Amino acid sequence: MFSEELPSKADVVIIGGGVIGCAIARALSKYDLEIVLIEKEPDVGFGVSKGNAGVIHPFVPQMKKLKGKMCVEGNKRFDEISKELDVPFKRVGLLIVALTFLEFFGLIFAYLFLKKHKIKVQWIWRKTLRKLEPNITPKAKAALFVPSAGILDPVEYTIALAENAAKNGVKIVLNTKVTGFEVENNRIVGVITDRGVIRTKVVINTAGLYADEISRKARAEEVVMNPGKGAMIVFSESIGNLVSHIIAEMPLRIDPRTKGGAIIPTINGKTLWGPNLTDVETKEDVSVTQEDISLIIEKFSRLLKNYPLKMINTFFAGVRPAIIEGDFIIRKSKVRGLIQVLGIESPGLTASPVIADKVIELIKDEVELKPKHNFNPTRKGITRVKRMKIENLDELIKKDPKYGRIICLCEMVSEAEIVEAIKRGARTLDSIKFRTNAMKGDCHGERCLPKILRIIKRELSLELKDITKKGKGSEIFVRGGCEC
Amino acid sequence: MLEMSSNIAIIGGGIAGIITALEFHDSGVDRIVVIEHEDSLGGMLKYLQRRRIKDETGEVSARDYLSQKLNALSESSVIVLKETTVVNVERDNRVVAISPRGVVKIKSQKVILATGARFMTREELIIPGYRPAGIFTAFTALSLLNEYRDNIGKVAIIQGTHDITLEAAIKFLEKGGEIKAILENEKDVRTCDKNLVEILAEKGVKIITNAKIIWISGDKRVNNVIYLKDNEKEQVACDTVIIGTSLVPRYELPLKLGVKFDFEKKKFHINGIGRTNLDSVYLCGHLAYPSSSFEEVIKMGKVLVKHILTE
Ligand SMILES: Cc1cc2nc3c(=O)[nH]c(=O)nc-3n(C[C@H](O)[C@H](O)[C@H](O)COP(=O)(O)OP(=O)(O)OC[C@H]3O[C@@H](n4cnc5c(N)ncnc54)[C@H](O)[C@@H]3O)c2cc1C
Repeated sequence: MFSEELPSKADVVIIGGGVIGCAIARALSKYDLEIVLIEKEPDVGFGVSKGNAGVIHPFVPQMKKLKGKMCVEGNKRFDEISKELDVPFKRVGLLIVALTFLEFFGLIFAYLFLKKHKIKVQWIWRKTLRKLEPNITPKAKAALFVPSAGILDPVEYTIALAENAAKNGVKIVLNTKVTGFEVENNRIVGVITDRGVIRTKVVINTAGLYADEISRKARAEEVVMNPGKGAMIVFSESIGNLVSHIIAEMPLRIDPRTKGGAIIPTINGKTLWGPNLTDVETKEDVSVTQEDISLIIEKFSRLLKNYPLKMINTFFAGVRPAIIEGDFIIRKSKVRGLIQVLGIESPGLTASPVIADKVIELIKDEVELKPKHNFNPTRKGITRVKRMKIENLDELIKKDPKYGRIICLCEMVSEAEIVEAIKRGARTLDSIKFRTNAMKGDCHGERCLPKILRIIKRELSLELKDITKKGKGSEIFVRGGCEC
Repeated sequence: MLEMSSNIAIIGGGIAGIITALEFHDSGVDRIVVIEHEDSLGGMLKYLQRRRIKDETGEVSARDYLSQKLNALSESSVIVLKETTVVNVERDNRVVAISPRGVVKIKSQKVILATGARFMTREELIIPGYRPAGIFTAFTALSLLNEYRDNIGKVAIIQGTHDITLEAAIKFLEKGGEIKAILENEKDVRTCDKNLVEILAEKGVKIITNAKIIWISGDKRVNNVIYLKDNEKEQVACDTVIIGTSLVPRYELPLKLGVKFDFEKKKFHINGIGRTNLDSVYLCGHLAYPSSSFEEVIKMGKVLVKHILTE
């Protein structure tokens, strides 16, 4: 699926293989264009797009801003997109609950706000709330139900976009970093990478947290990032469905450290709490602190009666690629041929299809957009043993016995799925994890990691020392063992 | 689809599963099936190379002990299904499993769950920080070190003093690695094989008690950790963290069946020896008693079989 070679010319070069770059690549692949997507990491989705909560938001508080409009529009698109791309998506709905009278008054305002913006919303009273969420705290007085809120696996979606784009001709080049530009008469004519130069007519800057650097290298407008970190805790699938909707407390105080976030049932059967928001000194700070964990636990455990807090599956953090303007900026740069896609913080995942449309609109003046007659909007995901009925499984195993050899016990991932992930371009352990869910169980691959290493070695004839968790520098083995 | 029926279906072919199978067999029970996910039996025990096992017949190495039992098993009428993974147990104790040969359903009088335990992860222990490569549970570390010539790191810090953790530490040293320290959160060392502690002491590795890692740093691979000892923070440069403090049951399957579980203590509710809230479903080995030693697992496996037979 990925291209080994770096092409020497293109019509459009997209910088960054996050969810935004991939959504744009797919949307552009409907047209007869030479498109190249360049990503510095060994896979797509390794940036902010893997560190998020996977919510397809129904709205954001800032409805007048571009991000508000794009969020609402984007949300509507996911039934169709998820079908086309074979990515599980579920409109579980959002419950905004009030625990106090003050919060109840807040709900009234929220109700009017949502009505005004034509977002479907419904009052839920105590009794119904208890029925919908038996485990909710008895303190919950009332709630607003917003049915359009959805969940999906953000990396699965990003990979699906990339696969579909590649199927329609986009060349996706990994492990390649954009280091500069060739500019003639204030027009970009080439993209310089650490692996060579690509001549191009248009460049799209979707470098997420590094969009400021790209802009600087193109001598375009100054972009000032305002990154903030969000940490999240994920609870085990083994506790069962203790919540079935996204649950958030009606926010009143704007304490930035505890702003936002929710209890989110994930599409993979786990439950995610968060994110919170903290300041960071560097964009690379994806650490989770003891304080983050305590804050999240304190904030969300109040919403539920009792919760098995010890059943933690994982915790992780993502850095929001916000800019000081506090909104999405999608426009042509003063440097011609450059399209800037900046400040795509939350709800970037939700808005991704609409952001892509907007870019297509902007690109019209730069290159001719001739629709391709053979564009294929569909993509098939990896067949997952865990998602199959036992009856159908027997037949599948008869065809390919590798489906019957379970590698990851916690997540019921078979050898066939791992092999398929590798065929589709997974080269690192994280890439396999994101494509199959192997090693995502509560033991984090205690037993299957060695087996997966063996499969990678065999399928790719790689040496042990070249297998990494997430690219160069994250090797699992070091050389220099003795003869034992 | 392969359908069979049995008197006893044992899920998990680690030492607990092997011992119960042999006990049932020696007591005259027939139609016993052992279902094992891996391609060989032995579970955790097969990874131990130095640990010695004591039972009523004397003391032998874990390896010899295991091969004696495996020989006995292969001479018995016990049916062993390897590379077979149980996905569920349906009504009437119908065990549903998948294997490269297809789906297998086994209707059984009694079901013994012996799926073993695993180490607490860094996440469960809530060790904050970054999530780079180079963090292993002791079990993963030991199995990689056993399987491959290369080492999994150059400089390690180790949390925990379980048998398996110390075996992994010794192997890490043998492959030319350096160990900065072995930390034990409790005041006493956990292993009951003092021999392992001695080997490490001879190699100059110290075990620091009442100490625990509180931060892991590193972007791509671990580059340092901070640990706490007597309220003092100590920063250590290293590229590897091995975590082997205590075991928790592999609870996924039993929970799916509805066996009662204490989510706080991460232990199953067990009545007497191995009985659960479900009719004719029993738990044994580290799944039932994750903090017991291998010797205790062996002893209790035998007791469980006696109990079931006298019911
Ligand atoms: C904690 C958190 C929770 C969130 N939750 C949600 C949510 O629930 N719902 C929602 O809608 N949104 C959510 N978001 C927002 C969403 O995650 C982002 O808007 C989205 O992922 C941004 O995607 P991107 O493609 O712009 O960025 P990225 O995914 O970071 O992609 C940029 C890519 O560019 C690459 N790159 C950078 N520089 C170069 C270079 N020089 N050369 C080549 N490649 C380069 C990077 O490696 C990276 O892969 C959340 C964000 C955070 C931080």
